Amino acid sequence: MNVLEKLQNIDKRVFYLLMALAIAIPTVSPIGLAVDVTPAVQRTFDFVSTLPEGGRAVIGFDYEPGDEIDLNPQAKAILHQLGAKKIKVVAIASFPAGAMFAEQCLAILEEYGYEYGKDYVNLGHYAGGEATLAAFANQPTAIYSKDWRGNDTASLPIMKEVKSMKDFSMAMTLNDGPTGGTGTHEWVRQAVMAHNVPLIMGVTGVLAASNETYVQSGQCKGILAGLRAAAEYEKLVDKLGDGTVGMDAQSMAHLLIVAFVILGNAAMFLSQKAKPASKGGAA
Amino acid sequence: MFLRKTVPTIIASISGVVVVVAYFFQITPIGTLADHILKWRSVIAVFALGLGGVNIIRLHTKNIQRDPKNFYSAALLLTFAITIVVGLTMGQTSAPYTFIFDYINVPTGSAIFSLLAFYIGTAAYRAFRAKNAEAAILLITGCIVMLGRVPIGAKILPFTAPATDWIMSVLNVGGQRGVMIAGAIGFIAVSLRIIVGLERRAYGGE
Repeated sequence: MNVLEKLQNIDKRVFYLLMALAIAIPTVSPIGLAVDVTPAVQRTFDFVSTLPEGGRAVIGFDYEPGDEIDLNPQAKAILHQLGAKKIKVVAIASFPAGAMFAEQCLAILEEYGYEYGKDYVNLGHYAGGEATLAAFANQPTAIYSKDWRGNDTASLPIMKEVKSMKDFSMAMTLNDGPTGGTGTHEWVRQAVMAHNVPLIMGVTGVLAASNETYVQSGQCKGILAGLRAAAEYEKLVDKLGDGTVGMDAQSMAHLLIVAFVILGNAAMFLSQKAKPASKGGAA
Repeated sequence: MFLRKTVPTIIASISGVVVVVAYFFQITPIGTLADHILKWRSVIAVFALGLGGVNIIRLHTKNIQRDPKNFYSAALLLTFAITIVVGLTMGQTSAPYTFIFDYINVPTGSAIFSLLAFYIGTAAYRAFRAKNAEAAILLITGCIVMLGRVPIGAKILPFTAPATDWIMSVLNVGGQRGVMIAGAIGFIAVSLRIIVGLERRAYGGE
């Protein structure tokens, strides 16, 4: 096997080692690459900025631990903006883990003087996907008699103000897909189409492609895609966090993959070029 | 036959018609009935979660009976039992339950998902070969989007960021719309078949 053939078939363990280094080194020792804000993230930020001060937002924490790295930083960044605007927050979750993530992220609101039960609440997990979301949209307390902390929801001041989905100024879903939980399509149907509540989405990078259609149709007011969007949002709210830290590692990982793809193709072309010449030489 | 097929078909038909009518029209009695049906749906979903738990216990107990050295099934059952006991006795906001979530559930979930970076990377290296025009287009598009999605891409090749936006908002959306509309039409057709009782495979039949 000559050098060109070897370059087309590099041992995957070499790639794994390089990938591990490409992720670990920038994480331990950040490069500090500047993140430019893209129009999609700016549009989302601008939309949230237009919400009335003291309004209400419902946020669906529809993700599991595998996607926490993308979606927790998005949640935290947007909660900083909502906190600064004194927008009351109701959190729900279509995955049990989502309720735990909500509990972690909502703690940010206490920096802004929020009081649990009055200014924000974590209602916890609901089973049943879209049907339960539809029932929640019609009458939230009918689905949640108790919140995640075990309080009677009917006794919480924030829930006395919420009779249906229409009482929210904004809905948001932090979503890693419909498998086992409530997907973005379901949120469009139940929040936007049924109750005309403006929706924004925070999704993993791979889900951006399928949800971009809702942004263009106007059914979604803004979309945050992956860790990159979290980093951009952190820049906009001036609260650098996990998104910004993760960008260096993600940059190096993408660069490594592209470098390997180019290397493999260059070796393939050069070996194809070399083959006719060697045949000609033999003849 | 009557209880296994006919009754579920009648329930599905009535529920389907009521919920669809309530979605499109403001008729108070039908809206109230639809609310009840949706609440029942969430109650049934909770039972399904319970059945899932029972199924996990049965499956892994059988695994251990077949092979007593099956460490993975034993570990699963043990952690399953500990999590349930801690959750039920101490509550889901208690420190031990949060500890299990923060230091076992989240790191293991993230670790499994992070393996994708390695697998997808090697898969891209082996599969993205410009052997013909179509493969070359896919390869170039993939590389542009990969670079355009991270800050370093815009630093090395500034055109990748706007090119990625264009690919995602024009080429991608065109294709996605077609897929979504076709999927929605198929979904409507299947739903209608269930509502009128033509689709019986949903109840376990042929």
